Amino acid sequence: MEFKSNREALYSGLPSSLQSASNKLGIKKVKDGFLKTFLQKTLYTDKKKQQNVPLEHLSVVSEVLECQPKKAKPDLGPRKKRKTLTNMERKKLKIFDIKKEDQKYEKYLPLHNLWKEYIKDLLCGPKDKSDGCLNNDAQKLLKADLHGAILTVKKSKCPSYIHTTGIVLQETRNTFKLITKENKLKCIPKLNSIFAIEDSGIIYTIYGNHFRVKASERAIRKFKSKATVDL
Amino acid sequence: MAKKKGSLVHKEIYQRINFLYQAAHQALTTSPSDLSLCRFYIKTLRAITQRQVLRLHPYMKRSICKKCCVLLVPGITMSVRIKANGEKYSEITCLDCGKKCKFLNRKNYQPWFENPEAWMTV
Repeated sequence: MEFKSNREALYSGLPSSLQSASNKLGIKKVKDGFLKTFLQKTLYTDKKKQQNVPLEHLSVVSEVLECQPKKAKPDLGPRKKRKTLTNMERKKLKIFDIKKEDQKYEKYLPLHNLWKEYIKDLLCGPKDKSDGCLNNDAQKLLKADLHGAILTVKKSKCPSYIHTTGIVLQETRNTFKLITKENKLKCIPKLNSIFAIEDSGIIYTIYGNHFRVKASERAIRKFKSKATVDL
Repeated sequence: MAKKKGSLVHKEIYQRINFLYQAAHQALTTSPSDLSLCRFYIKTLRAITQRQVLRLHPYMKRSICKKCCVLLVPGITMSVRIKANGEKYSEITCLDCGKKCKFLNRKNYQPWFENPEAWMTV
């Protein structure tokens, strides 16, 4: 067997005999984004310089070698170190903000399909539509997760919000964050607006005023049923 | 500590946890460069379990970063290295925040949750 030169051997693909049997071995192709993000995370680069120089450029590699190790942080004393981030730190780092490049409607369609399956599992099927069953469903939907649902604003005090539809990406205590078909991320307050959800032919309405609870706390909270709903 | 047989008490909440875990996986695969959504779903998942005092399966718990709430997938958001400092252990590092975790690799050691006695039948 002949050996190629070092550089060629490094970048060459798998031999043809292995490629033909790749199904048996369970070799999968790596997605495009994975390799790039992996390299960006694992290679240490100076962040200020990285903005100007592309990653593929060779000069970056030489700069990495020249970089000096960072200075050790000063001792905080006997105070016990916190292992998790505090809420203030989380807000500062902007951990939960979605980047502008990723705000595309088609990207989140699989999430909506996943939600459909989940809601089909949770609620009883569309075959029996008796009143008791519907009532039960409504109670369950109050405690269900709405990430991935398609939501429509039915009524609102602010007229510009009306008739916006989109997939729910995030739900906070006071707002829904929807992504619309025009690839725009919209933050809609729950206060003073009424929403509608469609599931297998039945339309459920949500009164935003009474829905102002954290998404995680909704599972535990008990809702009181009222004869009339005041806005 | 084998649990009693019977119907599942918090079925709807377990369904919700399952959905959120899958949604976080999907968010990670659709946009591996942007971890915000994945983080948000895992954060709500954890908040639910903490409020309701439910316990996650140990394998599920180990696949979540303690510090920054990212789903850990080997090669994309975490790295695994076998090290030996007297005793062999595997070190897991979150590539996003750098949090490290150690798990001992002891011979003939079986955790309790891998024992068939620990499982509840529904």
